[in-house]
Amino acid sequence: MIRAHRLEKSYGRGDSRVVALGGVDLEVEAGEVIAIVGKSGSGKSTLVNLLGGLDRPDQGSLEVDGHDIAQLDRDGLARYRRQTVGLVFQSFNLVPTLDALSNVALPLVFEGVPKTERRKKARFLLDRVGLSQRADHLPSELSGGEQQRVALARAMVCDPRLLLADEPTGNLDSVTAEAVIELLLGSQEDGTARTLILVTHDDELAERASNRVVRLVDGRVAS
Amino acid sequence: MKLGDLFSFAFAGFSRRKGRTALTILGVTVGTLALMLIVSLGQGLRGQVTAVFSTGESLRQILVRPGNSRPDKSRREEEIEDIEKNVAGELQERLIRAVQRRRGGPRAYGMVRLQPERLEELSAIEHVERVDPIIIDQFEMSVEGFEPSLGTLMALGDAEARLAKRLVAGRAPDEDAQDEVVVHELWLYRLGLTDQDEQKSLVGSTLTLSSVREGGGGLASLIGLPDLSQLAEVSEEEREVVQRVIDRFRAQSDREEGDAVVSTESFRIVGIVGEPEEEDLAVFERSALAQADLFALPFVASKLYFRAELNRAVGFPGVLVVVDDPENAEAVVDAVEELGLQANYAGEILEEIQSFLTIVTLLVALFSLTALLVAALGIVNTLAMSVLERTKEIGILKALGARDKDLRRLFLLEGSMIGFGGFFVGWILAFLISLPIEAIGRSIFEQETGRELLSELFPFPWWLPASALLVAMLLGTLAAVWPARRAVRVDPVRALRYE
Repeated sequence: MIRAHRLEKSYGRGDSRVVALGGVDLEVEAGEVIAIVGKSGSGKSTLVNLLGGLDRPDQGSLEVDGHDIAQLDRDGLARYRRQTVGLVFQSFNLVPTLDALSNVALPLVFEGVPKTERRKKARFLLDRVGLSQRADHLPSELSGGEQQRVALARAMVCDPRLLLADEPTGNLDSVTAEAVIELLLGSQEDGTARTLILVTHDDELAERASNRVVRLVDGRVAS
Repeated sequence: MKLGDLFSFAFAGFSRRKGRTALTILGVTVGTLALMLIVSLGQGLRGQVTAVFSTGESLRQILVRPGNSRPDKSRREEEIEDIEKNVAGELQERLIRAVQRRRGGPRAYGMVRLQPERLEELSAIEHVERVDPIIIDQFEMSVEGFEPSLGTLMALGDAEARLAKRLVAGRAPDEDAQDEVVVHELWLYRLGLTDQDEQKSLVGSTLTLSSVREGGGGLASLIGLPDLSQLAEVSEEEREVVQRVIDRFRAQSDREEGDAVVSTESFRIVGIVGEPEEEDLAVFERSALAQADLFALPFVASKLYFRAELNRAVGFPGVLVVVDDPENAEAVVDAVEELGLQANYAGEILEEIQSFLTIVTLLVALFSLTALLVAALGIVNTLAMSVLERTKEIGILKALGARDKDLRRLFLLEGSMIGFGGFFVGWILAFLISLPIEAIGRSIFEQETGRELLSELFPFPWWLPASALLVAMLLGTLAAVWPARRAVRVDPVRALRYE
């Protein structure tokens, strides 16, 4: 599913240059649930950005589900983000002017799916995350946990082969976080061989939720 | 991303910043309003001028006047040779230059006058339908039982068709009748006939015309030709004739203490006409038609006209050549000028005035375009602010798979929608504002001229709002290009961290 070889990414130039990833090798099989852990600044988010097609590596190769991320043009990357990957962020990143249902349906807009069809699918997913009653609420009218559940439903609306969750419980209390993790893991149970990558700084959560833990230290895989 | 979704996104964007969007639209409105009013007024003035110059036969008439001479190069070369032979030094140079600059050569080459045989030459030109001599002369007109009074005679070609709308009683003169005339109802009123039935009873009566004038000058006051006695081209021989006639008339006038009667002729009144409609007054006949009391066919009027010795010598002061189609007027003018005559046609004057109006309209429209350009800068500013405020949202859309072209289209659509909004409000306001201005303009025109405007001052033909729509939307779209580019260039990684 994922083949990363000597992935390098740095930001800035000259003296202010910061190496975020310094040659990461990683292989993940389809359907696998892995956790990427590491301290702040270890390169976790950079790796998620590369895996999510939000950014390109400076060096090395990254192949996800047959797509060579480094070689994709801007439209190709947009299509990859739309069709192959689902992203869940720590700060939810919902569009504040759209209600929950429209937020969930948003990725389908870019796929050109007719309105009735995308609303039907969004409603189904909202139901799955237990928010069918909150479909017409704006993000500002939802709790943090509810917003993250909406974000999770949105990440799954295009049936992605890869689900990337970057600190999905970082802004949630422990009870709500547990519920969100349950939903994330539950997303594996719909019969698709979806790969789940959970990025967290919580070792205990990583151990409990994943089949394998990948630890990043200073932009390199430590274990 | 489908068009309907793009519209939804654009509207959602506007609704979040209603005040700013409304102000931006207002800027476009002002520009569009000014542009539409100016172009509409320009169009209205062009329409008015066209209407004025298209009345009656205006565009088919060519006013032909006697020419100074026929171009004769061989005569000119002959004269230059004479100068070279007879004159020396700087005077020779100056004289040769003077001869070369004179189009038709010296006066001695001969003036091309409008004698009856010349009219036959004019009739033979291709596309010429009719040649009417311009004869406007004053006579003492008398009907039995009434006091004689002065009246103006006008020769009128194609009388049957041209008088048809004006006839209030009787008929137009017969084509071959030597003695039939038509009189104006105002002249009958001035005779003392205040009742229409009384006036009608005069149809069939005899009208006696007596020449009371020195002849030849009637047209001068009507169409601005110089008085014949003042024409520089009149030869010595002709001057003598003029002087002789004038002296004779003066002598008679002195004797009788009034107008000198030199001849009388009787005619039969076959019809009575009223005043023509404004749209039937051809440009070159406007003042004459508005003054004439009596109308006769050209050959009848010519007979009267040539009774005067001077008139026989100098020919008609002018003729109206009527062409079959306005499009052929220019070719006929060329052919007339080839004969050494002067020719003017309304189409030429109309074209010149219209070109002038078009240039003025375009120049003034440029000012309103400046207002639109300023409004476009407002759109740039509004959308650039929008990109800045929506950076995170743009990042989210990108993270969810929005393509560059989706975002580009979204912002271009927002720009064009602002343009459309400005156009729409501007169009309605332009129309509403034009109504009172039109009414005031009409009222002032009527007060000043005593006539009605022949066309709308502020017409809104379909192409005007269509063009304004195109300009406003194009400007809005172009103004959105740079903000759209900024939106496309938003880095999703940075944008998602943006608060």
